[in-house]
Amino acid sequence: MKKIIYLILGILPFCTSCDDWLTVEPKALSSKDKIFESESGYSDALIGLYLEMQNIYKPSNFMVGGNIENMANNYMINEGTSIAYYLYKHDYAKTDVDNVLGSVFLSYYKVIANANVLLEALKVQNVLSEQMAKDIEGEALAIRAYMHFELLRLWGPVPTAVNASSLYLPYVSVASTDPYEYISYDKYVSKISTDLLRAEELLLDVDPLLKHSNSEMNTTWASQSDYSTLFWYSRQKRCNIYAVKGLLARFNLWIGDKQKAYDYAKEVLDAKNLNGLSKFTLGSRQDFSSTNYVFFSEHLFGLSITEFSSYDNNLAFIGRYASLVNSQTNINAKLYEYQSDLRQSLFISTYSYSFGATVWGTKKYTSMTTTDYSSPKSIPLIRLSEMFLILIETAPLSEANQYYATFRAAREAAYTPLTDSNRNLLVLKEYIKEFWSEGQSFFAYKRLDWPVLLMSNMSMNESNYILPIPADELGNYK
Amino acid sequence: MRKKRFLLLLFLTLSFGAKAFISVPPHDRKITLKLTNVSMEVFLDAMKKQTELNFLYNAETFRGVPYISVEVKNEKWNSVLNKVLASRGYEYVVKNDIVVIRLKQKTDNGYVRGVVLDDRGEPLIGSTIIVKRRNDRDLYAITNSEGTFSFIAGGNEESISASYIGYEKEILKFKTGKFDYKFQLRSDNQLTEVVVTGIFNKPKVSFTGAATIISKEEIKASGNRNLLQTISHIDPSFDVQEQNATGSNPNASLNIEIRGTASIGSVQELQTNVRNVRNLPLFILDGFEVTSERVMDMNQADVESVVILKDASATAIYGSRGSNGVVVITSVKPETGKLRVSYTAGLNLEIPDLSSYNLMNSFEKLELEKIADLYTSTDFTTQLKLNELYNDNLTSANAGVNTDWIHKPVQTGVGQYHKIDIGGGNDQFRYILNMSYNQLTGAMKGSKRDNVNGGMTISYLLKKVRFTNNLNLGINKGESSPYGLFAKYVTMNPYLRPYDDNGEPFVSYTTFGSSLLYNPLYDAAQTSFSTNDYTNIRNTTMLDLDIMKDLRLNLSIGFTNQKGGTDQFTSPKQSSYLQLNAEATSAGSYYQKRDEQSSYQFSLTTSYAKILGEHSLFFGVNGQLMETQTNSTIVQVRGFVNDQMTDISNGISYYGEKPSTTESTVRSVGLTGTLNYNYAGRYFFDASYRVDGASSFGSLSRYAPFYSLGLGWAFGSEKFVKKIFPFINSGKFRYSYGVTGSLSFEPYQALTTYEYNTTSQYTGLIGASILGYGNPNLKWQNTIQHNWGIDLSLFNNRLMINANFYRKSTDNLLTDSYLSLSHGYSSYKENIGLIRNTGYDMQASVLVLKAMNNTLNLYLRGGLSHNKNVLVKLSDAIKRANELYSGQNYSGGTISEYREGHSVDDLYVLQSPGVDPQSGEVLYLNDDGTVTTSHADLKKISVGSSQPKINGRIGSSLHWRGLNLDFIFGFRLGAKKLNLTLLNVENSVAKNNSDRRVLVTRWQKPGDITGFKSIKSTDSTNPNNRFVFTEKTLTLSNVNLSYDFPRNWIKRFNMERLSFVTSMSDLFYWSNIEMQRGTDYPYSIKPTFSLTCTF
Repeated sequence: MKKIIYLILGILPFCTSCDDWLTVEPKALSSKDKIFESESGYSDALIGLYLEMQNIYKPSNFMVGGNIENMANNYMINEGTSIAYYLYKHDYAKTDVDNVLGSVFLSYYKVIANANVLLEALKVQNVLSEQMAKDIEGEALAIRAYMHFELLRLWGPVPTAVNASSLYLPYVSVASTDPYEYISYDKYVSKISTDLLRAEELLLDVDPLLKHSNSEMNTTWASQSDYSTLFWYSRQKRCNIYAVKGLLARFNLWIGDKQKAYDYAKEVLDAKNLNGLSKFTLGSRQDFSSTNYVFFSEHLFGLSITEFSSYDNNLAFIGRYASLVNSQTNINAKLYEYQSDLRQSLFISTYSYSFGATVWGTKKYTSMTTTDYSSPKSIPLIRLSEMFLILIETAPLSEANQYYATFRAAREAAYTPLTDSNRNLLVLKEYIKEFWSEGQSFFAYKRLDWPVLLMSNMSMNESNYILPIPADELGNYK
Repeated sequence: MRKKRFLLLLFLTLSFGAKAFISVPPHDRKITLKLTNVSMEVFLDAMKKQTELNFLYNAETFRGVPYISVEVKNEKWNSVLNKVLASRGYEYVVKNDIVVIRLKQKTDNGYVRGVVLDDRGEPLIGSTIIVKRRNDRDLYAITNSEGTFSFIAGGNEESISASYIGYEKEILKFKTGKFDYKFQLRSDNQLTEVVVTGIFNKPKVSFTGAATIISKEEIKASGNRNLLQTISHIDPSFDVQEQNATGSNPNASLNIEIRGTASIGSVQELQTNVRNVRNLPLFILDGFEVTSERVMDMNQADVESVVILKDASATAIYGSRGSNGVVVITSVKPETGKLRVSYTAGLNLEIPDLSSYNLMNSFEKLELEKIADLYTSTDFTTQLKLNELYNDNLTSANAGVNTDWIHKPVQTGVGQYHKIDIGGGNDQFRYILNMSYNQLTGAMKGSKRDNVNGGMTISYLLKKVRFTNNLNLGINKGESSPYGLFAKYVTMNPYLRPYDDNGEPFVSYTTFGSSLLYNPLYDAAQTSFSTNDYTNIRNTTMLDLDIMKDLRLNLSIGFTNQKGGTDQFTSPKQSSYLQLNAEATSAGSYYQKRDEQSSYQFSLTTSYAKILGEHSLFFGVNGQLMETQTNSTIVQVRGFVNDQMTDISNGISYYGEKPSTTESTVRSVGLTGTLNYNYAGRYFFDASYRVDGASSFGSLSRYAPFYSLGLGWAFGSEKFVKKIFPFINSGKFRYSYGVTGSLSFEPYQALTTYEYNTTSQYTGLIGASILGYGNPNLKWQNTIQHNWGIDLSLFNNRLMINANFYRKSTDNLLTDSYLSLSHGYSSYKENIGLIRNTGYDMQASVLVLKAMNNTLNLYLRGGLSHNKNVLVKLSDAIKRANELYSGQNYSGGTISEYREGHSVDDLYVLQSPGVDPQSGEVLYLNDDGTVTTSHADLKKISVGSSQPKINGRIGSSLHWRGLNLDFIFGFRLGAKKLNLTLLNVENSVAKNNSDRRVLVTRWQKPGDITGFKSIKSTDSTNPNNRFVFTEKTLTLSNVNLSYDFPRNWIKRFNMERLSFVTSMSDLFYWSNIEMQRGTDYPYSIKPTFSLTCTF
């Protein structure tokens, strides 16, 4: 019997180390625990967020030049049973439409889920320098807030008609498989605000753009002695401190806090490099010569893209099969009212088979192929021009007119002072002209609860502006 | 020394025996002698002369014995002899009328020895010896590792008895002067006495689990091509599922289930073979896990026994791997004896069985085409072309062209088989060496599967330590037929000539429509190939130790490494590239997959067996540690300029972006305890407990407990039963309950993993994002199983019945779980859902005839199994995914679905009441009972399970001297089957050749009342209940005839054994459903002939 006891005692220590032995790391993938053991892992996870955002913001995808512009009726469309047509008509009930909207909804929350896994890891990390930790947390928080804000702009209420007791969407700040809680508008916006302000605070300590100009940081190698890794460069294509401030301006305008919107927009506009020159400047015709059709100098935040092939572009914006187009007449008559404008030069005329007519498509995204070396390859998410438009909308009239004059001059357009009565309409028109195929028009309409879409004269009501929660989110299955 | 002499004496005895001739009974001989100072030899010589008896002695033993003097008158010879011998320390015995003189052996206070053997002559270790003594207490002893015992005799012994669990007690009378006792215990039922569970060997008699034990002899009697098929021929509950498409393809993997489907994957997987992989039973070879493919390829002659463990009581010791059932295979063990060499040569044939094909001939086909309006067009130029085409085809037909396309790709495959075994050894050291080559040549030209198996086993058997090492090598190579799918040949029109005047196959034919019809024989003549191969090396080392009395320790270490891969080359001249007008840079492709799998396992077992009077106890503990690593790399290239340059290096570029790799490492530990208690050989209790830990479990549920309890009552041994039912020889009720698991998920699903985006960078930086939520709570699936069983042996063991009824519920079903979109990922793996399988299996055997001194035996055997499968609960994600499939239809077959309350195997089809006699259109039935001609948006209904209600076997075996004849029939009843051939008849695009029934059964004109739609119709009918039938199938699965040549006859050739075996598989198939069998690869009849000789 003693022998048996010895035998069992002999086996026991062998079992205690089982747990370690039973933890196996995959080789082709990296587990959450393993990736966050090194500095580069955190960087990789952060960059992963931007790569995920490409799924939403590729030029022809839903949120840039795609269906969001159809929802603003900026493109013409053939009647029929296409998803684009249902969205154009704001008929969200069809199953196919629900599937498409569901996948957009999912993509946003996918970025959020990734941000949350990263943020949770940051809370317990001990491998990063303080500077790096602050920057990563700042960018991740800003992206989380940005994505939630986008969800609110799409699925949330018209900001002037909020039902205080309604539960709109979940604001997700944990990574969990438990159901998330739907919360009220007030709670939701306060969470966006908290995240953005915290991001601003963090980035204010560390963002290289505070000391260096964009041109200094937009290099493809580490050229500044104080920033020795590529991680700190190309800030314009990251959610930098000015992107956060720009987002705060956009966000405050949405929730109706005009003063704060004005303050943040002004701060961005006034931001100077150490040499006294403006941080961001309005683009000009000269940009076109270097295939910079997106006015990169205006980008507070642009999403880098490696490749938007000419093939994709031809199907979407400028070829014979392009569908994201409108007629020259419509654009000239309804938008530019036959006045000359720098932005008209961004259109290309082409014959379209599907419409049987000559149409206009934007050439903003034509220079984003791998072989186009001079192009900035940045998908515009927030631009300086939007700061101008916010100031024009929120400043006292006389001050607003100064900004308006500067802005119109930069766009080689005639300037007529705004009046209190036409200010909103003219600003709205500027949004459509400025952000053609950039996905912002619909939100301008929705924020102002505008009763009609300018390019089609389609009348709008509140329900047209609010997307229904996708069926797969509600999940009722037999 | 003593032993040797004894052998010598025995030998001499035998050789003298024949000469002895005695007319007067020797005991009555009286002698008269007067001898003075003579040697013993002289004395014995004198005795011999007077008695005329033969005396046998070894003169050496008399050395040193002083001379003797004898004087007797008319005394009995034996008393004289006794007097002389006894005083000098000798004695005599009379054997076969020979008087053997030997040294007197000790009796009083000497050792009495004994050996206890089982009915096969193997020592029984740990059997109980009880010596009854006069006026004294009984003496107890236990046999040691050699099965022997000894005690010092006191002279008052009366009897010695030997007993062992599962054997009948044997009592021998104690005889003074007898020192060697040999017990050969008969097992108390005719079943094999021990259940080899792969970890512990449990006594069969007190085993409460459900298990089928298949002996070497049964395998030999039913064996044909591969071990998996052989097992299924014997036990229908080892269900090798019918796969009509793959037919008799020697390279096809088999779908096997024991007691139904317990694991499901996603709905997409349901359409493919993946679900089956999840339900494969666990195969254990000599204690170590092996793949089903390896079992298929191993040589069945190397198998000692196969045990199929079915219920939880039997499989709980395998814990998280046990719920699909466990098949424990034991390979042959070396036996003692002088060097034996045995050689087997065989010939195997695969004769294609195309009897289920009944195709049209040239004229019939042309007639059909005409009726179907294929030769009419409204366009004038087209009409001219069609006229020309008709004339050409008719000319061919008239010229006698009636190509039998389906016989073009088939052949009678001729394969060979060679096996050489070398074995032998003594009590301490034994060995086996074997090598075999088995070549299977398929019924489709060019398809084959070659296996080379080699093995070496050595054992050292010392008193307290036994060591065995087993090294095995398996080399496999499979080649697919270049002729492609058999179905292509079925559709070819008979009026087309396959070869041109030079005997070269035509590339293509002009036919209806604009595209060309390519000749499959042209493709077959190209340089394309598809091969599979692997090399498997396995080594297991086992060490047995007797630590102390009753306590044994076993340590085993196993290592397996398998390397192999797939190579597929598609020639750039293949018709698919011609069709596409592919550029040279993309024509031709090479797919290469390299796999490596290596695993090791340590296992430490201690077992303790004790018998105290009526109580016997078996207790075992086992610890296991395993690791399995797999790695596979796929490289695909394309663009082969020269079709003769088939090496992968001749490809121009990668197909896709880059090579891909999959990798996994799974580790697990297990600790098992088992207890078996038996009271008086009548009441049994069995319990097992196992804790499993595996790296693939979530970090929060790393360890899983599994257990089982079993009860048994041998009511047949109760006195009152014996009295009331004297015909019952033995009978046992069994019940078991237990929880086992299955690990049907990918190794890393419990982890949240990041995947690097390797295709794009972001401003020069790389990024990674998560693949989905890992589930740290992820755990094994639990299968809770109840099993009720009865074993009966009746009428002098002439009838044996063994039946089980079970209920098996798999809980925590591991499936995709639905996540609302706000989680960013729409599903993750979770344990939701419940599947229930209920059923029974039964086996019976009858000894019908026993005659001519047991040289003639006729047995009848039967077995049947029934299983019902129900998806009790499903996850929302599965239901959501299923919605996608429930709306789909496919004219080539049914689409599998998961619906709550139904079986996984249910067939879902549309409802069709028939064909409209007026229009010849197919009518469908709506949910509300209305009839419609459009099948859009119709709901499919379940018509029942595609699994047979009863899967059975009936077999007989006849033994007469060396002749054995075995038959096995298989039958399947009650399965719902879609008759695809009939559906194809209805759907047959008249362009293609098809079953003759097209002509006679299809609707042709208004008023035709027929089950088949208009012959002119071109739209496809989807599967519907008109084509679903309830199966009744009978097959003659195997016939086996063997003959062992009589020993005295073959002795002349110095042979020990010579036997001839011939067997035939899949000889005969009868079914009420007339459909084409083996659509992608034909079925074949498989005769085998082999001759074995042992020297």
